[in-house]
Amino acid sequence: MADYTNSRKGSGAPYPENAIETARQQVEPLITPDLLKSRHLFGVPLVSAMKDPLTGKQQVMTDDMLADYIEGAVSQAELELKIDIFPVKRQEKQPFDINLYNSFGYFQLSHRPATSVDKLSVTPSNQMDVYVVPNDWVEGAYLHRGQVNIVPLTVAFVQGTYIPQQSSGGAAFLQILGNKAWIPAWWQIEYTSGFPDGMVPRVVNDYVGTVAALEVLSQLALTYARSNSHSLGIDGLSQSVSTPGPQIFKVRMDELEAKKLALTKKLKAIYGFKIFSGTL
Amino acid sequence: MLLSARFLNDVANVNSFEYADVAEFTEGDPASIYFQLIDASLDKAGEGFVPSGRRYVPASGATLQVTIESLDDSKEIVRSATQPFANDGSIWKVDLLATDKIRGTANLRLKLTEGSVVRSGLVKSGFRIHSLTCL
Repeated sequence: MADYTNSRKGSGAPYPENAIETARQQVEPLITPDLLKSRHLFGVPLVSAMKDPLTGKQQVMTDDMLADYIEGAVSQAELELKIDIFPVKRQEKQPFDINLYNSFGYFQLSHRPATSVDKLSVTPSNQMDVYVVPNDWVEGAYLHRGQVNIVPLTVAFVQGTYIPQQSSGGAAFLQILGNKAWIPAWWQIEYTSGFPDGMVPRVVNDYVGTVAALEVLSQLALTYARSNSHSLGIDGLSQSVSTPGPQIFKVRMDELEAKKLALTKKLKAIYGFKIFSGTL
Repeated sequence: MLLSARFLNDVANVNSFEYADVAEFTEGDPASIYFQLIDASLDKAGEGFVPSGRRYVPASGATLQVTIESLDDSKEIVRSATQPFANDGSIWKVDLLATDKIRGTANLRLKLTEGSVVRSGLVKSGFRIHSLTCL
């Protein structure tokens, strides 16, 4: 699908941020239906309270259904948290802005956590590269938060050829941009965002599991909606029973909603957009 | 016809195995992954089938190419699957090597060739390959 041989990687892992070694496992593959049940739905019978009127049997919420809820929860989490959970290779255009350019070619990528810059070029609308910035000059120290810089202070090699720091073939090309203040869609950046290999931080898995569990409990609770109280009286004797009806999982759902909200804030603080400012 | 697959664990013969939601192992471990081809358009979960999907036996001489997908070319695995049991053509096996670099969560993509008919299938997030390290 994509070649990462010459990509500029970020500094350390995206989670724990910038980590290069850790003794505690904090990333794992995507949550499975079994883990969803044990972590979020412990003790909840995944069976409808109502019987199917055609078969006379209660419907079972199968692992296939849970897997589908998990897939849906991943998409929802990506939208709500404004991050990519699974790796996505992107191509993004950015304007030339003299103020940002004078700040070592400051770019803010629109998708996070970015893990590699695969190509940074000047590419007009005909998609023919006018100039490809050597990856040796692309700084990826702040990549996980979406920041990229061009720092042409070191020598660079492109296809085995030495590119000096300041010459007509290298950084000097970039200097001619000083004549213009702003050019739309000047830069083209190919980069990859999302957690590498789909190894998801445990806290993100908790978020996905919480979203999926809310959907599961909501569906199950509906099947308790038929009757939440009944009474029986014979002569002088009577008995009445009240049940929570469709509110049966309300306490657990409220807890999950609160947990989801707290995790949303924490995860957005790490990778999301809380404050944005520009020079225009 | 919607080609898909369900994973099998603890496979001894065509009558002795367990269904699994996903294929799980640790990165760097050699693993034999067994799965059963199904037609996911039939016997759906909503109709009360557990597991869902009807077992599919391809025509004799069929070949199956599996791809364990990764965005990174150097990690993606493309391999031919084999039929370990002559008396059940729905069960297939693919061997993963200790040198394979795949890890994390990965899709299983299927390409079944039966004569001139080629069918494609996908098992979303079918592989959960745990990391050898903590990162």
